[in-house]
Amino acid sequence: MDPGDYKVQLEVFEGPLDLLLYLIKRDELDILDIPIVPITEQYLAYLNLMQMLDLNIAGEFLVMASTLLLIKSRMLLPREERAPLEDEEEDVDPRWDLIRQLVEYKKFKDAASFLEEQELRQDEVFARGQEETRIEADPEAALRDVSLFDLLAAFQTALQRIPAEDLRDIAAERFTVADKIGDLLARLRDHASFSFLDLIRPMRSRAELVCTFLAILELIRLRQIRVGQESHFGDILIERRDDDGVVPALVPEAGEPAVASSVEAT
Amino acid sequence: MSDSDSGPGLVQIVGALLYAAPAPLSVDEIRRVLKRTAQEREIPDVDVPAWARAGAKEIGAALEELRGRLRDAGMDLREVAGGFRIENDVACSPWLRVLLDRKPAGNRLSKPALETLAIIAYRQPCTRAEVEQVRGVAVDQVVRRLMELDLVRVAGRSDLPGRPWLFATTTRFLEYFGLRRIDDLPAVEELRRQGPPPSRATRQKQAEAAEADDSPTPADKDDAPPSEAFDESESDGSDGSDASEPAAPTDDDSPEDEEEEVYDEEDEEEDEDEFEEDDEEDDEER
Repeated sequence: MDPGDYKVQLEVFEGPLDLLLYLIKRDELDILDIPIVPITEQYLAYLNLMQMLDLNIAGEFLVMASTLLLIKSRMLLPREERAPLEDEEEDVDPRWDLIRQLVEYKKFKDAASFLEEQELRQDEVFARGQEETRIEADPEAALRDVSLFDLLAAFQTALQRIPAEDLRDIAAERFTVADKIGDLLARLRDHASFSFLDLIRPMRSRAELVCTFLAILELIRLRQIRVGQESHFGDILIERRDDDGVVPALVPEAGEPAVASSVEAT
Repeated sequence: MSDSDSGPGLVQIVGALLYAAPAPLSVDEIRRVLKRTAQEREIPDVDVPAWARAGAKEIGAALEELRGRLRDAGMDLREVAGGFRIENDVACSPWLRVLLDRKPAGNRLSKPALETLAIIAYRQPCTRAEVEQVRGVAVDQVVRRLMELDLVRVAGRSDLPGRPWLFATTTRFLEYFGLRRIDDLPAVEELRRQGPPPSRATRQKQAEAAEADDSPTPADKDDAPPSEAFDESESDGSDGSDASEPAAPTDDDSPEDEEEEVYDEEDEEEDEDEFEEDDEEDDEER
């Protein structure tokens, strides 16, 4: 896959536990009794997507992948045949450490949503002292209503819709992220918002899809667009962001890989 | 508003102080102002010393009274970061937005930033490794950003091998989220430092280190949990938030002034530099 030498700068600060909790929530799984085989498959599929997109993902994702595979293999073996692990207690479910960690992290996520609500409430307060605490939004804050994993889910669905035979035609067309950024901005001039699925429906090659997806991530980072979701785990809505002014003419030279750096300055 | 015969009452004085204070005022700070005014000023026909005798109870009652009167005027009295502050009634914010030309900013911190902040808030003072244990992913960049925003500060060094930095939240953290104190966070007892530790050995060492260290916790009135492992002088006033400075100049002659805080800007800068270096050491260790 060649997304035109383009490296999307969006930092991924979510970790493997976020991905696992996302999958557990999406599939309405019991966190205390995680079905390790399907969750491992799902996890690896997402990991694969992130690697395909060459996102800046943390090495911890790979560590977790091997942890999941280890747990899976230990679950498959009868207890007496499991190789003893260092300092492992007798009769411990191999999933236990992971479950404990997930449950604890979940509690802090809930605490974080309390802070999130407070942050919104304080945005309605104009007291002295409050004014001084105002801060600039994180670029990643644009990804708050829809997580990266939601976007990846949409991307995965889209990839699966591409018929296999079309894969041979890739060589005929060349797509770049820079071109796709231009296309998206042009589309945003006519439509304040549009659906991700509608956008990618006519696309017939993986390369085009990958470039489009990376272009979306880049525009999120540049705060040109915001993404929303009509329902949990539903279609993704791409919206123009008007609050920071009009969409600037950010159409780069076709295929110019320097967009990322020139854009860094903004 | 005041009874013109006898000068302003306690409710009026307290209201005026809160109106003009640049940062939330605590009851103690209000008392200090009342005392100093009695020492330094004489106002004809006003019994200034009478107000100097007002205790926490009287001031509390005056604050309650004031709260009621403010509500009738589109304002609210709220306790934030250990002090009281006059705020607008949030129901009136649409008009204020027009007046001040301020669009709703929405959430400005990303979820990972909020989660990191939550972990530090509950577990403070805690090392970066502890936060990473909970989140399962490196947080150095996020912590750095939170420090830039003055929501998190360095609160000393742990006795763990490598003497990693300990992090805590700032007064500004409380102000930003409109919290009175850390204990206002939900489920604070549960999340404080007894969550299931993923690595027992590390956590145990940490607990031992905490016990072994009896160096006194600096009188950090805002957000430092009292019994946790602080050590070293770095924790002295590295708060960096001048918002916690008392509104009225505190001084020389008030013996009850235990909470006076000293800010040393240069000291803080040093802290940050060291933090950078230390970061790299940490990375090597992992």
